[in-house]
Amino acid sequence: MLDQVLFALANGLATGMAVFLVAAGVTLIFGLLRILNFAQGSFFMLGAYVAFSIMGPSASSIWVFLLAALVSGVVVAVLGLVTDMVVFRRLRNYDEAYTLIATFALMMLLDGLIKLIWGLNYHSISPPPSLGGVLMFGPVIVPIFSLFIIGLGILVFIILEFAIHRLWIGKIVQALAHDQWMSGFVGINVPLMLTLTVVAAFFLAGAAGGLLLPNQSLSPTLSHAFLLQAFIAVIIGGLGNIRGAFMAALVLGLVESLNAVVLPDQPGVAMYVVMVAFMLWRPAGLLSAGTVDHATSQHAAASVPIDWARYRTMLTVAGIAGAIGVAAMPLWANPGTVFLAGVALIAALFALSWNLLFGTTGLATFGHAAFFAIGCYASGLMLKATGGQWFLVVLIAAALIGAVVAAIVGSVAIRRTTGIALAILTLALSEIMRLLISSSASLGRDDGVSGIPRPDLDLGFTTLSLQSTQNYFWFLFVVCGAMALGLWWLSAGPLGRVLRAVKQDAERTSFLGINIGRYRLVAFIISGSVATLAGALQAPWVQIVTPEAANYLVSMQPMLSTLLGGAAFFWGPVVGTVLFFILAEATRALAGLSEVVTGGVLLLLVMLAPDGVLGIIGRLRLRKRAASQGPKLEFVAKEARP
Amino acid sequence: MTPVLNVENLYKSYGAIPVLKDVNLAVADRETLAIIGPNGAGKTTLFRTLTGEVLPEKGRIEAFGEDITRMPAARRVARGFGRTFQVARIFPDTTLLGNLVLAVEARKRNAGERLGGLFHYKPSADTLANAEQWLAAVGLGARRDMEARFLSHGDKKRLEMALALALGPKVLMMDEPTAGMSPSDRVEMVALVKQIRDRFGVTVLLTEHDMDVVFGLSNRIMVLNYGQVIAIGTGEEIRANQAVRDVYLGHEVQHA
Repeated sequence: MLDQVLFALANGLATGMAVFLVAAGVTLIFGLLRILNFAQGSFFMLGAYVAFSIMGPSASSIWVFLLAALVSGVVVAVLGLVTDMVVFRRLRNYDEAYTLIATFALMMLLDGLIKLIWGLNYHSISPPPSLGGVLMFGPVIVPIFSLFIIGLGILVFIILEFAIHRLWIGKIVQALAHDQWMSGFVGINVPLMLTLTVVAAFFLAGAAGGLLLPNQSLSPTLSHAFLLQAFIAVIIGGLGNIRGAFMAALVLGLVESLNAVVLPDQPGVAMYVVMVAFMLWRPAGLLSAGTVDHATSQHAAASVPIDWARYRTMLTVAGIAGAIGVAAMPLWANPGTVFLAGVALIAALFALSWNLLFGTTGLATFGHAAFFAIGCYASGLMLKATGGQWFLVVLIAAALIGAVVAAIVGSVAIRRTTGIALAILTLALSEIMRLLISSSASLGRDDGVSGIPRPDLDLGFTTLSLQSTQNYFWFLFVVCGAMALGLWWLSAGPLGRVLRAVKQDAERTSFLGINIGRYRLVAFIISGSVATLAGALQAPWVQIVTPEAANYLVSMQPMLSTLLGGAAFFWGPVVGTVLFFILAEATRALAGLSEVVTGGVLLLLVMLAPDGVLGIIGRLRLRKRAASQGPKLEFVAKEARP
Repeated sequence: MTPVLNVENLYKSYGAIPVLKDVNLAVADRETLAIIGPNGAGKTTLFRTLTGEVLPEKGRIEAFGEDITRMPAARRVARGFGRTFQVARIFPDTTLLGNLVLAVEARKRNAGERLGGLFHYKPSADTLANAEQWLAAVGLGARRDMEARFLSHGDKKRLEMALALALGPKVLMMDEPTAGMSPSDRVEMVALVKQIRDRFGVTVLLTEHDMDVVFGLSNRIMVLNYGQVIAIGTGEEIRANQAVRDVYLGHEVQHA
């Protein structure tokens, strides 16, 4: 037993140090730029692939190994410089939620590029000759490479600590992190110093990729594993705090390694549980540093007043014509397209449910897939049990389950956190769920539940068979349409008015005598319930459910669609979903290409047109009208937006 | 008559530094009380304990005979406490009318009234009429369909005042109502507050740096210094008070 624990300890230290090497870059960039960089893991992975291309699966000597890591660091640092100039600088005055989504898009873009260049294969890499082998401490076996990583982590930590707390450059960096505007005032070259620090953070990511490469199985999923762990360390340690990140990374490494000994059936869960518990305990982090923020964050979509009422008839006609076209799809489109259109209908409803939180209430959650997965599994399992009967009951039950889960999660999470903390908390909760599902035998582990029957719809007076694709598609159309109209009605009514007020200024709203916590919770419950219903509709349509339904890429889908269409517009997520499906379908052929295209499009959108496609259309029309009528602009009620 | 607001032995510190030391205060119905004091005197902290944004460590706050010391801000508003902010806070992406609709609907909800039929998602005719009335009362009726962020600083303050009044407050709390305003806007603001106070019979509590505004508006003035009440009384009493002159008004009185 003791030797097992000692082994786990050594292992945990090595894991913790590896996490720290990635987390240090994340926390440096956050400390200076206030940007939580989702793409950091991808830059790390890029470093690993570059090193792999140089030294191959086993380095011939330790010098080749170190040289490869150095080159990786330099390559990634150069790319980081470009990223800083092209992306980060534009994001400085953006709303938090938009920078999160932008760096997520950057992550998709990079992951896609890596898949295009290096393919999807797994490579196993061994340590260089002098770092291979093991040391025996009595009964305990410790790989030399683990000791190397532990030493490396401590070395990097000491260098960063020394630079930040003992050297002149550290004083400048601290001044910048605390107050950039004032730093500029006292004569510091702010842009240059920021760029230098960012480049250093990227160099660290690239070099770490090369150095941690051995004993990993290198594949395009490497980034995800490290990214989430590094994020957790950074958040527990207090955003922007190197010491905090170091301590948190160590704790996480040990928790992870003990998890493997104590709970071998649920790999990786303990880490997220620790994080969730911690975030609820201290949402601001272990050692959070105060900063001064002069730049009042820009309103996300700097929208121009647009006379939507003028185009209302035209847009309504276009919308109805589009809806009729979709409803008639089984009559004119081929079955493959009809199938995709059904998935898109569900995705559109799912996106609308997410935007009730984001666009209307101002809460960005990153774990909406959890609700979708609950819906998929609930309806899939129930339909298998009933043999496709009682479908209405199944759907209502699923929506209720979603509402209950949302009420429980929301009454803790929504009341305690907003902003980045809420984003990461929801992300962690959905990851816990995915891990639990994929390790649960009764839910079919990674294989999921297959052979879900298409149901019959018993309406009491008559029974409709939904077993044909055509009938189920029409059923989807009616249910998704009705739910969408219901959400529209809620968002246009008194509830929606209060939610939009909460989004604009929560404190002000509470001084109208409104309990903002309760309204946020209500929005979360409605949103969670509709998202669960969307999942419940999907299970019999695709007839199989896997834990991938809870993957955080699924949580990104509604964000993509919403930003693509325009978050400020109720129907924006629907427009975005349609465009997204067309885009994804057109680029499906090559692994990685669709991620490059969607990530790239999303990144461009967030940076150039944060108000989405509907916003662009509005602005073009406005320009045309302004040109024909002279500069006079009229101010028009926003409530009149379609 | 029980006072509208009764504060007993209020104590609050930030870390080791006490900001309010045993503050006592009773506010009568329909009076206008100004809280003044040099920077760092504890005005804002006192103000925020009364609105519910800051919880005191010791002491008791009573409103209309009810203990509200630990009551959350939103519930105090529902009991009749309106508040405006130093930098006007309004709903920038909503029209002026939309801003007032929010407040009118909030008042109805707080009073337990229905907002309209189940299928009426638009504001009811009554709500709209009420909202327009309040916009007109602060002189912004003509711009009802403009989004609030396009307003000037002074007009935002007016809109905020309308927001607070539309909630039907018994006590209106204003944090520096004329901060950052031009002299002519100040004069207008004082006239507006007076007019509204007399028309609707509200009790007014304000903090303010501009002495013309303070003496022009208030029946009583309370002076804070280092978290302690050093004087409370009418304008003349405060002007005549030696302790106040020493810590605060000294220069101004000499110049005048």
